[in-house]
Amino acid sequence: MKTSRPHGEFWRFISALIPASTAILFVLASIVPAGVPGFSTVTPLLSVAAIFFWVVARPSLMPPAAVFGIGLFQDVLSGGPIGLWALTFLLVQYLSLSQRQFLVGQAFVLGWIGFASIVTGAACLAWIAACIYYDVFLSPVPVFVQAALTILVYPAIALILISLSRWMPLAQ
Amino acid sequence: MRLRIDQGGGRLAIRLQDLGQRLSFIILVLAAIFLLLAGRAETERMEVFRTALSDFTAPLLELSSRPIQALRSGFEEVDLYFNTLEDNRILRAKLERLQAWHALALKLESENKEFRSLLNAQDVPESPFISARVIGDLGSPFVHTVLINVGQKHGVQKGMPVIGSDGLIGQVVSAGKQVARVLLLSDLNSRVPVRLETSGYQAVLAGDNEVQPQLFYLPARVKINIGDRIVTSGHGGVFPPDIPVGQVSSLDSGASKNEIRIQAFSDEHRLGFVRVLQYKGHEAPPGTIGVVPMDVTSAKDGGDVTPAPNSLAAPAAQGQ
Repeated sequence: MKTSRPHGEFWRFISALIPASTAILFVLASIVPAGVPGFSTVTPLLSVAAIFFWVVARPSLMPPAAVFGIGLFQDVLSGGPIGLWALTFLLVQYLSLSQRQFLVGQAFVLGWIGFASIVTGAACLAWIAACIYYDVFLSPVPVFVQAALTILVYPAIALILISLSRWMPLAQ
Repeated sequence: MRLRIDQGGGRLAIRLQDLGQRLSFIILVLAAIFLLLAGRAETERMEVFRTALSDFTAPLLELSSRPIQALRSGFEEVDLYFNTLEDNRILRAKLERLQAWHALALKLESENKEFRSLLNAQDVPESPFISARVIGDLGSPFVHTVLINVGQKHGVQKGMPVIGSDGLIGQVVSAGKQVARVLLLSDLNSRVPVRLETSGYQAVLAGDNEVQPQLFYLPARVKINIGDRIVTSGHGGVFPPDIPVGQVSSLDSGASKNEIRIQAFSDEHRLGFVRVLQYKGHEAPPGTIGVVPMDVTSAKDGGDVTPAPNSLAAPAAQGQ
C-alpha cells in the first residue's frame, strides 16, 4: 500500500468529491424531463437520499457547506424560492448526523426507517416554509407524495451508493 | 497512528472540528433563511442571480436531456409502428371529415376578408416565433415552470408567450443568455386574460398549483358547459388574442363557490418542443376584432356547429 501512496492520494482526493457529485447528479436527474404525466411535479428527491446516505456512511465528506450548495443548486434549477431546499437539506443533514450513531452497523431496514422519518420531517419543513413564503395555504399532497416516492426509491439509490462507497479508499 | 500517541491533542482537534462544523451549520441555516427573506423582498435581483446560475448549468441539462428525449421518441416510434394500420384507418376517416371543413374554411376565409375590408378593420399582425426545446422539467411541488434552451441570445425576452403543440402553455418569466424559464398555466403566479371562444365572455385563467387552472371573474349569469373552448383574449397586451388555451373540464357550482377548471390543450407533462412568440405587447386592447358585445345571443345555442366563428361574428355583430 505504501508504495502506491501518491496514487492513493490522488484517488483519495477523487473519492472525497464523490458524495457531493452524486448528490449534484441526482439533482440534475430529477430536473430532466421524464415525460411521465403527473410525475414531474412529484419527482423523488434523490439528492436527499444521497445526503442521508453519505452523512451516515462518511460524515466528513458531506459537511454542511456541501449540503447547502446542493440545496441551492436544487433551488435554482427547480425555479422555486431560493433557500427553501437549502434550508430543508440542512435539516436533513442535521437529523441524519444525530441519528448516525444509532444507524451505523445496523440492518438496512433500520436505516430505511430512519431515512423515512427524516424525509417526512423534511417534507413538513419544506411545505410550511413554502406556505409562509407564498402566503397561501398550499396543498400538502404533492410534497408528501414526493416524500413517499423518495422513501420508496431509497433502496435502489442506496444500492448504487453502497457499491460506490465500497470502491472508495477508507477515510483517515 | 499519530492520533493514538497524542490522544489529548487529537481529542481537542476533533472537538474543535466539531465546533467548526456546528458553527458553519448555524451560519448556513441563517444564510438560507436570509436568502428566503431576500427572495421575497428583492424578487428582481434574485431572479438575476437565478438566471445566471441557470445559464451556467444549461449545457449540462441539455446534455442530460438528450438521451432521455431519444429514448422517449424511440418508444413512441415502436408504438407508432405497431399501430400503423389502426392509425391509417382513423386518419383516412379524419381526412374525409376535414376535407368538408376545409371547403367551409376557405369559404369563411374569403367571406371574412370581405367583411374586414368592408369594415376597414385592423388585424393583429402575426408575430414571429422561436422554436425551443424543454431541457428542464418542473421538478418541484411548489412551482410549475420549465427551462427551455433559448435565451436573450436568440431573441427571447421576459413576458413572451410560449405555445406548445396544441395551445398556450405559459409565458417567459426570466430569460438568461442561453436559457429561459417558462411559467406554466398551472403555477400559483400564472394569470392569463382569456375569453370563451363561442360567446366571447372575458375571464381570467389563474393557476393554483393544481393540475388544472381555474377560471375567474366570469360574469355570474354566463352559462358554460363542459367542453367549452377557452382562448386568449389579448387584453393586457401580454398575450396575443385567439391562442387556443384549453377547454372547460369541470364545473363545481354551489351556493358559496363557483369553481370552473380548465384542461389545457397542451399537456404540461409532455412538453418536448415549444414555440416562443416574439409578441410585442400591445398596450391598447387589440382593436374591436374578437371582442363580442355582451348581449350577443346568436352564439348561445350555437355550441359547436360552426368552427370558431368569433372573428367573423364580431364585425357582423357590430354591423347590426
